[in-house]
Amino acid sequence: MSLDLPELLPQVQQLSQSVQTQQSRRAEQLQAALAAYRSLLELPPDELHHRLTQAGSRWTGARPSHDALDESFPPPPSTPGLYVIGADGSQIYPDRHAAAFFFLVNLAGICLQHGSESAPRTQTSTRLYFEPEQLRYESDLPVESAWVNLQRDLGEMSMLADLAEGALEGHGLALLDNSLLLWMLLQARGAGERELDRILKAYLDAMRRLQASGAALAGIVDRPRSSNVLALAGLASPSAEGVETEETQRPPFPGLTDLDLYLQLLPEGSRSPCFELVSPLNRDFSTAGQAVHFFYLHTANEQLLRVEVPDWVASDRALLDRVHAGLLREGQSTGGYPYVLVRAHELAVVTQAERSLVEEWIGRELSARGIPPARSRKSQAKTLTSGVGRRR
Amino acid sequence: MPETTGPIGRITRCSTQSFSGAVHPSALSRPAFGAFCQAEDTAGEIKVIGVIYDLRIEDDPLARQMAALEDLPAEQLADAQKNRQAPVEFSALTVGYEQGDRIIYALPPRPPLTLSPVFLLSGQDLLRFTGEASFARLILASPNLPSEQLLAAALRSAIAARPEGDRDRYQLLAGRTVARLLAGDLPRLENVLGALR
Repeated sequence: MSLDLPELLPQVQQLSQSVQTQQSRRAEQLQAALAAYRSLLELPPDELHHRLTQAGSRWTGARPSHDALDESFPPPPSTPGLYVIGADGSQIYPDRHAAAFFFLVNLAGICLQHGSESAPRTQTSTRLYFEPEQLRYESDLPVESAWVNLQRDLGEMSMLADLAEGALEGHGLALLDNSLLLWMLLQARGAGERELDRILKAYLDAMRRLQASGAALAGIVDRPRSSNVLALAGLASPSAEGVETEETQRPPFPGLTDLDLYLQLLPEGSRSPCFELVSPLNRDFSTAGQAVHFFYLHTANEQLLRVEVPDWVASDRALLDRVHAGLLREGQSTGGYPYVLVRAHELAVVTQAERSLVEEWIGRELSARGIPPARSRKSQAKTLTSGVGRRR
Repeated sequence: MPETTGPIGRITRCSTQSFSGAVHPSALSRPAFGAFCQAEDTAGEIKVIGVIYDLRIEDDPLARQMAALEDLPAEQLADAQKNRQAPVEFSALTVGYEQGDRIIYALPPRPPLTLSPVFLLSGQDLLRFTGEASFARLILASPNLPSEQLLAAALRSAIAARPEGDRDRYQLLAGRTVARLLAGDLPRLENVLGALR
């Protein structure tokens, strides 16, 4: 034990006091946000359009999509015998202290039919990346975790497209355990433009294949932390009239998320209107006919999902209803989160024990070829003290 | 002793006294409390014989959550029962071994091999191993096990494996062996005989 407990105790007390103050501030903020949202519903469309234009190109938020903002969306009837597919991925990141430099991506998919007594079809795919050109960018910098995540996200979307083309009969539902936007494109800082473009193109191609398969595609984000609708509500509040562009870049209700707002507004089983996400990355998706829209869905008691759909789903009420009803049916036994994604995660996840096993295999194979599989000195030194309390 | 219909699973943990393993999803209905089973030792020279004393389904939060539902969707039930790796684990108490042509009712010199397939003992192999009821000694000597219930279940397996005309004779033989082993412990003897009836 190296903590100075007498010094820590008053700080813990200050922390709890701070949380209490933040909570009462949040309650006030929430009332202001609800008032702003009500103003949004009353704002004439041309005035809202004017304020969105005034907000400038750097503004990130939600733009009204194909739904009317004041419309309510109770649960639609479900499609009997609906085919649902889900995909998820997991990875082992490259470790420069390991015996060998590599990374691994494990993907899993599952396809089931609602009401069927047949066992769902499952599929997994494990790929080890170890060739020098897979481990270094064109600039010769070593790849980072974000690049591995990009490969995983691309693999998930491609697996979903493969499953949809092979298994869905016209009117299926394809679920991804992730946002549809490839946010990792912004994180892979070492990658060159050409490399990122290749990934984006392949990802958008997979989305187009899903569109052609007739499936309704949706990306599911559990416990979302985004505040895009709040940003829109902030623009609509009376105080936002005529404000400068600089001002609109700041979050109007700091500390609050869209989740806080819709927990107050959405009855169980209902969804919010669909919005289009306004962000520079979504412009690339929009150019390719795959602009990302989203809505919030209250699946179960105080459980909200952010559901992202491409434009071709957002603009088709039948497809939107299929996503809405399908997700409610999927979450019945799993606390609101889709069953196929729970299972896809279970199939895809690489456990700590499996990571150790892969490293052990690699070490053994290197030894068999006369290459000593030594970890870095730093890594070895850390194992000397891990699991042991620090001593003075 | 290969007279079985495929392995019931593989060994994951073992010692000279007992072995445990995972049951294949396709064989979930075959292993039973008191059934005889066998696996090879590390050198492949010895066939270790055990009696299954425990079948466990490992904790699974998803299954628990689904089990609490009144209306479980048909496709999810099918997935849980046919696809998901059912974490069923068996444990067997070692009651003897076979080396060459000899059957020895004692602990083996070495435990079975990890990941060895485990077969249920049946037919002539079961008749041969249970020809004497001497395996009862190791069962009764095992602490921390429901040994009287286990012995009664093992004897029932051995009796059921015999032709109908031979069952009374074997039951008498087994009863005498148990009575001799538990001569100084009448309550336990009563428990075994009671469970056998």
